[in-house]
Amino acid sequence: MPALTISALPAAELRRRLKSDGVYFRTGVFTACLKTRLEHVASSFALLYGDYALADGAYADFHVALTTPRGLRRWFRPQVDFIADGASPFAALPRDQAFPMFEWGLNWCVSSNAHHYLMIHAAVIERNGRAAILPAPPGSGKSTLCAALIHNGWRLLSDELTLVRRSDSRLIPLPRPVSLKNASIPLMQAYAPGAVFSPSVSDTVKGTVAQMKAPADSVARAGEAALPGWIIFPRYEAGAPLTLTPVPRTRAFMRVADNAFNYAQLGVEGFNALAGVVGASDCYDLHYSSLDEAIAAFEQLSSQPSSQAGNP
Amino acid sequence: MKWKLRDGQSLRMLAGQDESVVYNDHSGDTHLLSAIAIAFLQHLRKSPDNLAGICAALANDWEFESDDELQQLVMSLADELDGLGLIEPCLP
Repeated sequence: MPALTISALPAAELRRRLKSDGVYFRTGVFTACLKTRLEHVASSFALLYGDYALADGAYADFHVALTTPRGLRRWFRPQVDFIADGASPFAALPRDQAFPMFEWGLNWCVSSNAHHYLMIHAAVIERNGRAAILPAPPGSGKSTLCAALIHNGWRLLSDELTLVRRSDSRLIPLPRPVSLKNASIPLMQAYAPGAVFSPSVSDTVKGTVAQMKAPADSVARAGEAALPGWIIFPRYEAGAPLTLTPVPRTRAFMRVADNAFNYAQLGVEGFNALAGVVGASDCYDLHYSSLDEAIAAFEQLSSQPSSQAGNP
Repeated sequence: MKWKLRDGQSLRMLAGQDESVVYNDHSGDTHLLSAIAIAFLQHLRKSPDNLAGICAALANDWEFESDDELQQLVMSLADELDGLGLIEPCLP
């Protein structure tokens, strides 16, 4: 029998749990527990996490809470604290930024703790059994491209954290809402009019941010690991013609290692895991200005046989 | 003086056409090395050797002239690979 999802909870029951023991839910291979009394967090959580399975029992990998700090300040400039397993790893933020803070904080929980995986700061999507990893610095258009691709037949594994299983270099899904910022928000709202978005929050450290709901199919298939197929370094350049330039695997390796959270800490196991990913991938630099052209390029790549076919 | 791979170096690598990525078991660092540096390391993997022997092996494998220029290159590579902790001098 499929597990109950968060959407199965009536609105009042969801809020009761958020305010008392917390809501335990599965996000990829992890179980998280969220507690909060903040209504705007509850409503965004219900909106974006309805497809996630409720977890049985009181175990969670990460216990997180969004709370209002005590003190006079809360009356004239309301703030929010992110609490992870009893600690406050970040400075308080304005209270209207609570939901983005939850998303950033949950990413922090994974990237600070999940060292049994090699963790790369990259989006990862899959089609026809092969995954494309998109490592890129902020501002490169990674999340926008990822958001467009998952509305064009690609499965979302993650828009932020690529988890590599060290034993076999397979990619482990962590499908969560896609974080968009600034001009990407109205762009994607127009591009994917059927998609669900959280309310936009302005004046954050990243500018205006909003989250786009992960496709239900991607959430339902969070247990399906994927084989690496491509490493694509995207860069958005206004007005630029699309170019897809092969990158030697050796160079791709060094660039991906630079984008990994824990490559150095894992030592030889990190090297072996990344060598497994890069050795199985065709690597490219992608420069683009048109999402439609970029999606067509991905479509073409996914329809071609792997250059690794037949290799051991 | 002879050179040898530093004890404990297993030369795990991701090989490419013109360069390779090598994991340094001693430091935990990862290096991007030229094909000639890799050939140097592979030669020492077989057995320790002096600069003349290394020059001769590289000249043979790469069809170089075994001249002063090659000797300078090999000396420079030895310094570099020693500095990275991949090789070390040993007694003849």
